[in-house]
Amino acid sequence: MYSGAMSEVTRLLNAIQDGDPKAADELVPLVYSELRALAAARLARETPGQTLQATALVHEAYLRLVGGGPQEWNSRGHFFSAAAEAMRRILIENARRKRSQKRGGNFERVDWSEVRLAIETDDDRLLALDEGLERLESEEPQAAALVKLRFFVGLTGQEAAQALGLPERSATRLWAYARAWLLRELQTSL
Amino acid sequence: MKAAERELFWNVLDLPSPAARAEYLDRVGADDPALRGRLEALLREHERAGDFLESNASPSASAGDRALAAANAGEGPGSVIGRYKLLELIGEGGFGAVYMAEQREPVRRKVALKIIKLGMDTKQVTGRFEAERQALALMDHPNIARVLDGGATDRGRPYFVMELVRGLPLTRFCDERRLGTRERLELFITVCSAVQHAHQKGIIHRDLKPSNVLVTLYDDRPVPKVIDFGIAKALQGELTDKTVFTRFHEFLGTPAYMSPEQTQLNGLDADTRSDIYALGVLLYELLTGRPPFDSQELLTAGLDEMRRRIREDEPVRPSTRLRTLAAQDADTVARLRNTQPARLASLLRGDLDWIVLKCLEKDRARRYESASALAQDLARHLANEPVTAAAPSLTYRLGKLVRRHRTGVLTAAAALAFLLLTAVVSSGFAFRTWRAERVAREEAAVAAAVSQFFNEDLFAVADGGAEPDPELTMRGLLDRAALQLEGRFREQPRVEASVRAALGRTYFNLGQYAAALSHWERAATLCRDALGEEHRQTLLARSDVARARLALDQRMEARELAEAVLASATAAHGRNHPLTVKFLSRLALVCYRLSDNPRARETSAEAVALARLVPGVETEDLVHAMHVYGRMLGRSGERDRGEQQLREALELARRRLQDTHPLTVRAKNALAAFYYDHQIRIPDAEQLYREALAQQRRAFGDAHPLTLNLRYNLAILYAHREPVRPHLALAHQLRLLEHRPILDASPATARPILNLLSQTPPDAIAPPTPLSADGWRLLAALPPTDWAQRDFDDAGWLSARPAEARALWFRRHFPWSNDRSIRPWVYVRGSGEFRVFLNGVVAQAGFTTRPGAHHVFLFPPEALATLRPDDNVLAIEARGLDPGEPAEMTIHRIPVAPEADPRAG
Repeated sequence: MYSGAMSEVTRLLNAIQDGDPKAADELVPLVYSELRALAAARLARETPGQTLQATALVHEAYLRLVGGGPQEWNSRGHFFSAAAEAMRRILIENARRKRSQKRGGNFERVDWSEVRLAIETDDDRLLALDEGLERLESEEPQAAALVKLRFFVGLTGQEAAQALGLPERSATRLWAYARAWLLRELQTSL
Repeated sequence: MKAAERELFWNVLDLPSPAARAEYLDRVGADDPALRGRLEALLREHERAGDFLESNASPSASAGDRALAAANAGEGPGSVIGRYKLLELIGEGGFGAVYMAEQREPVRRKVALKIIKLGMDTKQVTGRFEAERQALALMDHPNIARVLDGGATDRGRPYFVMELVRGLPLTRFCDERRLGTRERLELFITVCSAVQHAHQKGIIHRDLKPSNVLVTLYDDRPVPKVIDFGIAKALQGELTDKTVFTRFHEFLGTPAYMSPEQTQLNGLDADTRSDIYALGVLLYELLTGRPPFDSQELLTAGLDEMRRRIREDEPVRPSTRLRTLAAQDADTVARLRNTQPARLASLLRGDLDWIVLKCLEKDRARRYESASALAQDLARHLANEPVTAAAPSLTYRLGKLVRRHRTGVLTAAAALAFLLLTAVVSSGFAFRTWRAERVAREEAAVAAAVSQFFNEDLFAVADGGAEPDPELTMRGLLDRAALQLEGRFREQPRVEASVRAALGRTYFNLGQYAAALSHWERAATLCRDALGEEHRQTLLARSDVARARLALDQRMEARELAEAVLASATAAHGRNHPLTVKFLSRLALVCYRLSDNPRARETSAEAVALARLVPGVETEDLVHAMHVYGRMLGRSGERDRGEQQLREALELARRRLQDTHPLTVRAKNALAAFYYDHQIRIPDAEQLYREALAQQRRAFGDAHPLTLNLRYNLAILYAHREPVRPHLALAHQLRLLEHRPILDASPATARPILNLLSQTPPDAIAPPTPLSADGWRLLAALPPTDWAQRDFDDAGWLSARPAEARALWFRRHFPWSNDRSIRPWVYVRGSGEFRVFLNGVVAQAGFTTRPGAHHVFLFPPEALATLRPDDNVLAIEARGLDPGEPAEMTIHRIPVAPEADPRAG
């Protein structure tokens, strides 16, 4: 089963490499289902709500789907971008589900200036962040991609810069801007 | 809008003080208060963002690597591999892992054991290692970590066993100790001696980089050790297009240290000079804190771009690199070297710049021939002795410039023109022998100042870290130089004169005669004022003025001046002097152009004769004199002797210069013209013209006056010498028409060409159209087309008097062609321009041009705006302008909207 998904992922990575814009869209669901399966297995074993191994999870997915053999370097970057999107979907979906189970809709105000967000922060904040992220994506897609890679996959600044094909310095600046932008957005929208 | 906000946000962050930020925001706010508000909110959030979104990130960059390493794991501390027991993990990387291990037999010692990760063909790796092992064993140097053993683990992975070195990478060691430049160089020299030793044993490292040069302390003394000798080769194996990149990335790490030749697909081509390159990168990083090319940027650029950059991009000089660093970064770099940024930059400028750049030459033949040669140069630098690496010469830098700006109009031959420029700059030395020492020193000082001007000012514009300017042309470069020259050397008129002489010469070689003239005139005035009327340089400058005037068709002025210069030179130096011979030769050329045959013969004969007696006559002068003399002999009936002169001149140019040198090209032109004039050896003449034309075009492009001259010569040869090839003749004429503005700017070249193109036909029967007599003859000689056949057959003239018949036919069918006010030609190459130019009028008539063909349209002047329905347009369509292209010629008559007048409908 994996060998099929594996060659498909490799094919799509090559297609992205060749500039096929549709390939990225096709890649996300594949990575998504792989990540879900892996996460489910992990979560079953470990304490619930535990998501801190996002990075390890994605790397594991990478190994399973692409394999450890030689690859053009930036196929890994494309893979991470797809993984970031998939990871985001998983987490958001999860948060939505949990919230609807708990409350079925709630308008609790969150004071963002007090928040130090990590992925294990509560689901409302995660969802609010995601909304902000969507707006950021429409304004500044690259900044949003950076946030996804760093926040949802847990890549370091350097790794994320490499995945996006940005010089590290540019990525650092973009990161500063993205964070300030999101915080401002969340202040005003909530 | 948002992008602007982002940029502004960054701009504010870059400002050092709160006051500066506030001021900046005030300025923004003045224009756009709302934007200011948004920016302030952003900044506020930025200040208190803390680790927002970051707490999830993994603590170190190696998180991913660890995951991969874990997946690749198998062996670990405690495992036994062969005779070795793994003790602890001491290093990890893309290649695999390094363990400290214990060897029990035959001796008990600690070693470093490197296990290569999965994905390599173990058999091949160990095979290559075994092959190299003998050589590796021969290495015995205190600064090389010995490779002791190698093999395959039980799980089938290759491993290598090395002397255990516990130390820091060279660059980190130097930074942590804040070693100054001198101490760094001393350590580096030791590394060179280690590499030299290995090279002498026939071992190339192939992967020198900071992490492979570890520094340990013995008795508080830093000792660098080069590790991993022989391993890169074992790992490299057969690199294919698919794997070269990955392997470098995964196993060999940084591409910043990869030499241009190692980026080739057949990367096995590495030799000792590839190590020299890597040493240069290492030195660069030691001195400036970073390698010449950023590894991350290379990796993010993609494979092909990475290769291209390594092979083509010229590294920025270390000192320049320091100067262009952000202030903060420069401070850090300098602090780590225990000095100040400005001081560090000045320390690197000069010797160290050149030494580093010599290591980093793209062409390995230009690098140091050995690591010890590099070490010696560094030692010389430390001892304040002159180093062998030197500022690249002008011509060399020009070559680089041409490569950098290859998208521009700089051609290889523009470079050649510049080459002649240096000849002027250095010509001061040729006369040293007969000048007093003091004068010679003065000349040398002037030459040095001139050279510096070109090197520093001229190239500074286009060189360095700046982006290549695709618009930069040689002309643009010269114009900039001319601009910078203004008022620059008010106190040093001789320097300015020399620079202007050189600039004038370059303009002249590029066919920019007017610009050449203005520089040469200024040079002549400056020289006269500074050195006197009789001085060699004054005479040379005035003689140059005469050349420019001749080229601009100011023949009488040119002649007067050339005679005067010759008289002065004779008075000052006598007849038997290379300078006098030069002026004789130049005067001969002027007289030849003026058709003053007796004077041309007299002067050229004397110049040729003197050249055999006087040592030091320049080849150019002799060759030109032989041209004139040969032509003169030919005109006075001594054809064989004349031919002999011209052949010898060509031989001389070929021998002393080279086949593609501009002077050789001129010699071919002269010999071919001689054959043409005397109607002998026409196939040879054609061959010479074509060869010369091809060389000239390649070197100076289509628009150079000599190119046009050669094309003209070839055109008339096709038109007037058997076997007549009218289509080729006309085709070349059409090409000439393209350069009408250039012809107008260089009248001496243009005169015969323009005559050819615009002469009215001599005989009464031909209509007075702008077609020249030659043009008519060509038309008449055209292969009959359908319409011509029909008409001429009707008239019954075709066989009797074809030329007149066709001319008559033409006049009958194109009555407006009798009108002198007719717009003569519209020359169109290709179809796109045609449509634009004629605004669809002719296209509407159903005529389509063919791509690649040349079209000439003849029609009344008003045709462009309003072509009448009864107007006809004649289109001459030609193909086959370039040798090898099948020649083809068609004439179209285009009735404009004969069925329906679009304006009526």
